[in-house]
Amino acid sequence: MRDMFAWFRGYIYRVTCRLFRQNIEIGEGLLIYKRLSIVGKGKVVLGKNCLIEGALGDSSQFVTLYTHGESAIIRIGDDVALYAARVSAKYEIIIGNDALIEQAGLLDTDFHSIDKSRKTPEGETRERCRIVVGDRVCIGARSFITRGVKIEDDVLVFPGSVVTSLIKAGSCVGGNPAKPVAC
Amino acid sequence: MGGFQSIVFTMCDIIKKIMADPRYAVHVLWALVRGCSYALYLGVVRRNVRIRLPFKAFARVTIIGPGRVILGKNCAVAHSAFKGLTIVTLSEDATVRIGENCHLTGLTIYCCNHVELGSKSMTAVSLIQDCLFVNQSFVRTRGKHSVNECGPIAIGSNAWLSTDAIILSGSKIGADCVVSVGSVCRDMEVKPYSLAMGNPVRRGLPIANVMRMTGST
Repeated sequence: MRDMFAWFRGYIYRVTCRLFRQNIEIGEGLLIYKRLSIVGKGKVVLGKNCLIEGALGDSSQFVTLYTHGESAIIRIGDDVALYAARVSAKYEIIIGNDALIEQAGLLDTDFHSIDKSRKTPEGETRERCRIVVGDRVCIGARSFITRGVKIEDDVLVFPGSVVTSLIKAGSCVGGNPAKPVAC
Repeated sequence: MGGFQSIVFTMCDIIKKIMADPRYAVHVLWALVRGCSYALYLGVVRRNVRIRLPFKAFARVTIIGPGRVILGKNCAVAHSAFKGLTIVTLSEDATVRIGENCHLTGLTIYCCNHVELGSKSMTAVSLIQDCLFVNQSFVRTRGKHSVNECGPIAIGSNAWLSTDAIILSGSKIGADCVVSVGSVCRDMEVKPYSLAMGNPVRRGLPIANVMRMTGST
């Protein structure tokens, strides 16, 4: 029953996006169990058979895909499960196939510089700030991915970790800042 | 006898608070009514949940899932800015056991194996999760790390979990422990009466030593 409703909700969302919101591309078979909120003028691409979930009975857990500015891109691969994930892009965020993101935040900009003026930070370019998450990556709850991070394939990020640097394929990381741990 | 004494003590405490601020009486009564109705509803409709009375609910209580949930006597769910108590059991043999006289504020529990909280423990807005990923069936089907780790969690009596603390699978926290703000504990055994801090927690600092160092005995 719940699956049927989720499929129907995903279908409606896909059709409305195709009709009214040209900047969003959604593949077939989207399942929406919890609210999906896409805000901003940037480009959002969701692959086939994606899953939008959140903890039951908690209305604050929903998926947000925010783009700041028209040049922003969020590109999400096939068979991805977003479990109350918060993705927010000013430049570019790419998520590979078969990934699982649980209650984690991905943010590819600092918004403000660290000096007193709090202006837009200098030296942020698309190449430096791009976040790339590989295939079959699992990101645990309440963890955070900062700008310019590349996570390669088959990585497991433990809950509650803050990732600030490149992570090599096939490793498990945890802690703040994230370091390889035994799994 | 001990139970009777504790009831008398809590009654004295409540009466003192009411004498200081009469509005507290209304709050407590409302919380008791709310808590009892939660307990009745969950006990009758959902047979796997058992809440011992009296149960004070100052905030929302959400209990989901097929597993077994047992709350001891005289627990209280206190006010929080964000959320009340949330317990999610992910499988049928999951067991959540919470002791007597607990004060739970904004606690979230995801359980697929076994979670035990001792009596008199206090929690702030924190997360207890005895599996690495909630969306379990999803993890098992993919990738190199095919097994999702599930280990029981045991938290001793009179422990205090501070704001944003995360307790993950396989952690054992002794009696009278304090888990500090924003720390993440996984696969660790923290000795009784010690302070666990850091992300990840490496070892517990004995609180007696900490008190001596800071000079506040």
